[in-house]
Amino acid sequence: MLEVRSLTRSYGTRTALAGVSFTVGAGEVVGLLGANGAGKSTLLRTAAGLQPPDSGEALIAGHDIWAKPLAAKQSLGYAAEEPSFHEELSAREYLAFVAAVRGLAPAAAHDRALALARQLELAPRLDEPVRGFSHGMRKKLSFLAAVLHEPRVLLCDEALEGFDAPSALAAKSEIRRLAGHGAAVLFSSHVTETVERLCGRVVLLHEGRVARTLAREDWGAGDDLHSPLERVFLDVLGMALAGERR
Amino acid sequence: MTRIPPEQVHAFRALGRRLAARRASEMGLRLWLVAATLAACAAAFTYWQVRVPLDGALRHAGVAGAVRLLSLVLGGLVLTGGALAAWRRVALTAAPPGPEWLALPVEPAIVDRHLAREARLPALAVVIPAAAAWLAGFGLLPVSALLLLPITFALALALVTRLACALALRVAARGSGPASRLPAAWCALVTARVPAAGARIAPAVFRSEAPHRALARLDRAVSLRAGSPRARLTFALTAMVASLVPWFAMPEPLQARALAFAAFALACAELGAWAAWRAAGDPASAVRPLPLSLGDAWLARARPLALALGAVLLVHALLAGPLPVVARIGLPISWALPALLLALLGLHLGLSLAGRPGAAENLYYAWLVTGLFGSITIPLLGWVVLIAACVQATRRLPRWNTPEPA
Repeated sequence: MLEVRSLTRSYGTRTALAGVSFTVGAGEVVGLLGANGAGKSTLLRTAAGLQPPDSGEALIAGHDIWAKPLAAKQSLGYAAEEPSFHEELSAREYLAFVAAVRGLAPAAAHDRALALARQLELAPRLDEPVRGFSHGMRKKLSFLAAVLHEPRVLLCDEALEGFDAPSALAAKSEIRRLAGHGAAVLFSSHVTETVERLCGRVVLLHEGRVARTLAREDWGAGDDLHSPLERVFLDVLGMALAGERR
Repeated sequence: MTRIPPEQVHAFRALGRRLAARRASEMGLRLWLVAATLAACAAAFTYWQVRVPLDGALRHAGVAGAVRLLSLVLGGLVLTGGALAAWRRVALTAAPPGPEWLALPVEPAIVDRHLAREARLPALAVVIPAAAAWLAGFGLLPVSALLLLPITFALALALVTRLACALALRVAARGSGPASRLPAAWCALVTARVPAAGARIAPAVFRSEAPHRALARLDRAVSLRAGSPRARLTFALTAMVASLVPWFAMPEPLQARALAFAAFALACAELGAWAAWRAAGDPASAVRPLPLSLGDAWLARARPLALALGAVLLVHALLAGPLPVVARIGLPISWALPALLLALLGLHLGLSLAGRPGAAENLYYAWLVTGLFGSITIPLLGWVVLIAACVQATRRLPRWNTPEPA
């Protein structure tokens, strides 16, 4: 459903992605973990069609996002880490625009937008300009727009950071529901507790490469200080750093 | 008067120097060459525009008349510099660049001084035409006047830009509640970046429509609400209406046509600026993941532009009664070409610089200024320049498909 093949991207002399490859199957929620600057956001922005790769490809529901962008983006939802909007529009106007561009049936799209907005506690502010929204509300709106059309591939770039607890719970339920209906979800986060509860598999990125792929059974139990996945993540990171020093 | 510790003064001076050095290095060689060429064009243009009248003034009114004329030119440039500084100071008051200044242990007065210095930088642009005007006086004015005028100009520019910044700060820094009791510099920092209170907008209707129509609808909503695009549209609309007035007010049809075309071209230029701003101004993370093509982005802006221009041209053809029939029929056809050229230049620059509305608009105005200088130097050369610019912008359109992060 989501297939990333040998994705490479550099910024000047700094390599952000160095031949990253992995797949996320239908119905799977895969976590994407990595230290700051590991290449997570670059990977997600490249896979979402926001910035082109130097080489490699990202297939969304079988379509290369850069070769066949329209077909790929019909199946794609992307919740941004730092969402940007037309600040003068109201949230409802923005969602109406997204629904029209995606060719959704107006009445059904409106009902779904309203239902999701209620779950995310955004409904009372739907008719206010986005420029007055807090960071958390902007992220909720970005998430809402990303899932409005029930995408077949959902890319979440630290999408739930900044959500209040009830909204985060609602968003996680929506992600699980979409996966239950066959969507492939790639979920990037720094909060390992969220990843280990939500994801069935985790891809660990380190300096633009896939350092390791972990299945749920790989991360076992934690300790007093660390969650299970956090401990494994730190171990892998430590091994990678030790390997570099050698 | 607030006493500012000397170490803070040094720190802010160092910051100013580093910012200037960084900006200079970020321009790159190519942009420096372009800027130098534009400056040379502006200087040459000013030189000849001042030199000839100065010579005339010397013949008819003597040395005193010539000195008076050059003083008036330099005075006008000083006032332009003041207006530029004030305009920039207002912009910096609304969104002061840099960190959260109030979180730092610095006096707001020194931050104000720093921002005022930043605001005065664009005013230095008037030094180029001023220097050219001064050079135009060589061989015509006495040495004493040539020595005195630049010194007076420099002092007046420094004084007027400072006053303009202070005035702009007082006008722009309007706080409410406790903020209104603070000094202006402090009040400006307190009220900057504070989001506006959540005014309600009439609930949007979800519709089934083609992507380019949805984008055009979004453009309309954004353009009618946002300050900058709305100002452009208002200016364009005013110039459009003004272009119709000569048909009623001028008895001589050829004069009426010339004036009407001038106002119409001005309106088209502003519509082009709007197109550049809107086409480049779509936020990447909101629009790029959507199934929108370059065709949609182009059509969403080109269609309303063509419809608006077509409607105005039709009105012109109807009002141009004093002209012969052939001229009336030819008017919309001959005016449509420059109108479309200006509008498409703005649109194509905006689409090829997606995510960078400021750069698109600056480039657009740079082309217009080059075209203007070209036409003043050699009649119609400006249109050749603008056609070349439009061809180049059109060739760059595929860049819309591969955006880089802004």
